[in-house]
Parts: sequence; structure tokens; C-alpha cells
Amino acid sequence: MLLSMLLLYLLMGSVELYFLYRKQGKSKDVKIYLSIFSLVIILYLLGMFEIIDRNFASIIKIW
Amino acid sequence: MNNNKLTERQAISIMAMFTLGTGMITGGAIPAAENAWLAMLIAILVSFPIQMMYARMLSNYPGKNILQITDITFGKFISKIFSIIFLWNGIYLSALLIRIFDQFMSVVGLNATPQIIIITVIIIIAMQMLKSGIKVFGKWSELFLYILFFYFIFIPLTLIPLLNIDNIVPIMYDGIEPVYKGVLYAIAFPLTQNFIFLLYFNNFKEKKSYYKVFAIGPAFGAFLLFIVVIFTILVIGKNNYVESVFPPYLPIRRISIGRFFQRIEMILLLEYIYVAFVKVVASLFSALISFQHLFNLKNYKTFVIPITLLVGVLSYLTDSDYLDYHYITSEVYLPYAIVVNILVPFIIFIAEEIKLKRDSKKKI
Repeated sequence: MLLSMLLLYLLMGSVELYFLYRKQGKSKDVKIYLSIFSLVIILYLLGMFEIIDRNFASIIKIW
Repeated sequence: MNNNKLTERQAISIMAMFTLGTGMITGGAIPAAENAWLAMLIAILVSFPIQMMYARMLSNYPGKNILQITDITFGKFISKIFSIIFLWNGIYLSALLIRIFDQFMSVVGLNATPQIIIITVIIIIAMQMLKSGIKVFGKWSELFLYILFFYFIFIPLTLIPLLNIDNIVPIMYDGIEPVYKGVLYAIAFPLTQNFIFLLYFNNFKEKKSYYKVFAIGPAFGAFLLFIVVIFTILVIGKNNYVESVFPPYLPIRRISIGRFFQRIEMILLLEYIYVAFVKVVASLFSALISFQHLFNLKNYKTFVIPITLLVGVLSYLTDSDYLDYHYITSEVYLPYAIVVNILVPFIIFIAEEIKLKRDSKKKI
């Protein structure tokens, strides 16, 4: 199930990114989009393979 | 057409539904136990000056949002730091809210559905709303607030036979401390969370509209939440209210009219979903607008999909056990909320007032 959702996320992000790239070329928007989208996919993979713990809510404990 | 212009009524609807928000699912002022209703009333009064502070901040510079105001008062560099704080808060809050939403759906109906599926469905619907813009969001909220009235007329009436006044008396039996904790909890979650509207409730024609929206919206939402809280306690009692994961859901399961009209909670569940959805979308809007300001972008709509996907993934990573989440909201989120929702806007407010005074002196 996690893999199917990963494919869905990849599809959603990459299709929009492709159209954005065709419209704007290597613009600032495309670069920012690509960075965030990569972050999403990396976080997803880390969560999927349980490399990072699922305790994001506790991050404010640093406070 | 300006896609960001909201009418007063739309803004009040969004704010009322936002304040009611996930409180309708998780209950309000929980640390106050049987006195939660009293804590809610006190919290409405205590948070009123804070709401007026928010309104004044926007009315001082009509048409500008809080980050554009910090550009003027603090300069570009410090304004970017505020953008990061607001962006972080928008993303963190959205992730938490989606997690509550997802957990609620799992508990009440979709027990066998994987968590990631529920999260993905929520974020896809949220994406559509975010792409449509704030104006459509306002119209949608206005419509669904009317539908919500059905809930608030129907539920109290049908719960009357189940009410037990012994559940709320004696008042303040355990002293003032639980009430004090409940008031703080209610102020942090949800009464001052509406500071996120400083990011996009900035297009009213008249100055008094800001005060009207920030006075009526949260007070009306909190009053509806007060109704939810008092009816829940009167029906299920103190212990169930404190110990249950989703206390307001328990009374509606008991509704039964003449034996033939029962098990209607699935219909009423829709109301919970609409209200929680408004809160999720409102906080996502705040994240996107902060993001737009941080990177000097022309339009936030291009980034709806990646930011929403990021929030979806973070909400999946929020916690593996919902009981951890309970600890976080009651112990850790409270000081965080007081700093981010009250202290940070207060610092900006003071700087803004000083700047305005200096500017008026220069003119003289």
C-alpha cells in the first residue's frame, strides 16, 4: 500500500513539474519545486523503510 | 477578479469553523474535566484582547498581511525569519490536524483502511481547495456553516433525555487549578491558533471589518464548541470526557428516537469531517502564503502540490501511536502554542505600534 501511494505521489508531483518545466524552463520556481518534491520523496522513503522513527510530533520537544 | 478578497461573512464563517475545528472531535479544555464548559467560557473572555490585538495589527496597514507588515517594521531580513516561523507553524499544525482527522476516521468507521490512504484522500481534496483559492474556500465555509446549524439544533434536542446534571455539579470541586489549566489549554488549542489568519485576512475595505471578523468569528466558533463540550459532559460524565480519545463522538452514538431512529452517527460524522477539513485547509493556506513570502514568489498556487504532499508525509510520520500524540498536545504543544501564537504576534504588534508612532511624529 505504501508503495502504491509512493507511485501516486511521484505521479502527481512529476506531472506538474514536467508541465512547469515546459512552461518556464530552468526557472526559480522549477528549482524550488524540484527541491521540495525531492524532500517529500526522500522523507517518504525514509518513513517507508522505517529508517526514521515516526515521531515528528515530538520535534517541538526541542523547545 | 481578485481571488483573495473575502466578504466579512465568509471570513467569520472560516474563522468560526476553524475555532470549532478539531475541538469538535477531541473536545475542548480537557484538563478542566467536568468544569471544561466553565473553562471554555473564561477562555473566550480571556482571549478577546488577543483577538483585538490581531485585528489592530491588520487594520493599521489595511491590505497588507502580517509578513508584509514585518517587512515594513523590521526590514526584509528579520521578516524572512518570521516567514520561516509561520511556515513551520503552518506545516506542523497541518500535519497534526491531518493526523487527528485520520485517526478519527480510522476509529469511527474505516478501521481496516491503511493510514496513508486516508491521509492521501484528505490531502488530494485539500489540494483542490487550495488551488481554487481563498475566495472559493470562503464561499464553501459559508455554505457549510449553515449546514452545521442543523447539527447544533438537532443534537442538543435529541440529547435532552440523556442529560444528567449531576455530571457537572459540584462546580470546581477540585479547586481552581484544573479550571486554570483548562483555560490555558483552550486558549492554546484552538482560541489563539487563528493568528494564522493574519496571513490572509487582509483585504477588507473598512478598518472596522477586521475588528468585527476577529471579534465575532472566534467567539462564535468557541461558543459552538462550548455547546459541544457541555452537552458531551452532561451525557457521558467527567471520567469518560477525560479518558476517551474522541469524547464528543460518544453522545451522538447514544441518540435513539423511538427505537426506529438510531445509529445516525454516520450521517452526523459528515459535520465533523467538514469542520476538521476547514481547519486543515486554513492552516495549509497559511503555510503556502508564508512560503510565497519567504521565496518572493509571484503565486503560491504553483507550490500547492509539493507543500501539501510534504504535509501529508509529515502527518504520516507524526506518530506511530495516537497515545503519544495525546501527551504531545497536552504537555508539549501548550508552551509552544503560547510562544508562537501569542508571544511572536505580540512582539510584531509592539514593533508596529512603535513604528506607527515614530512615523506620525515625523509627519508632525
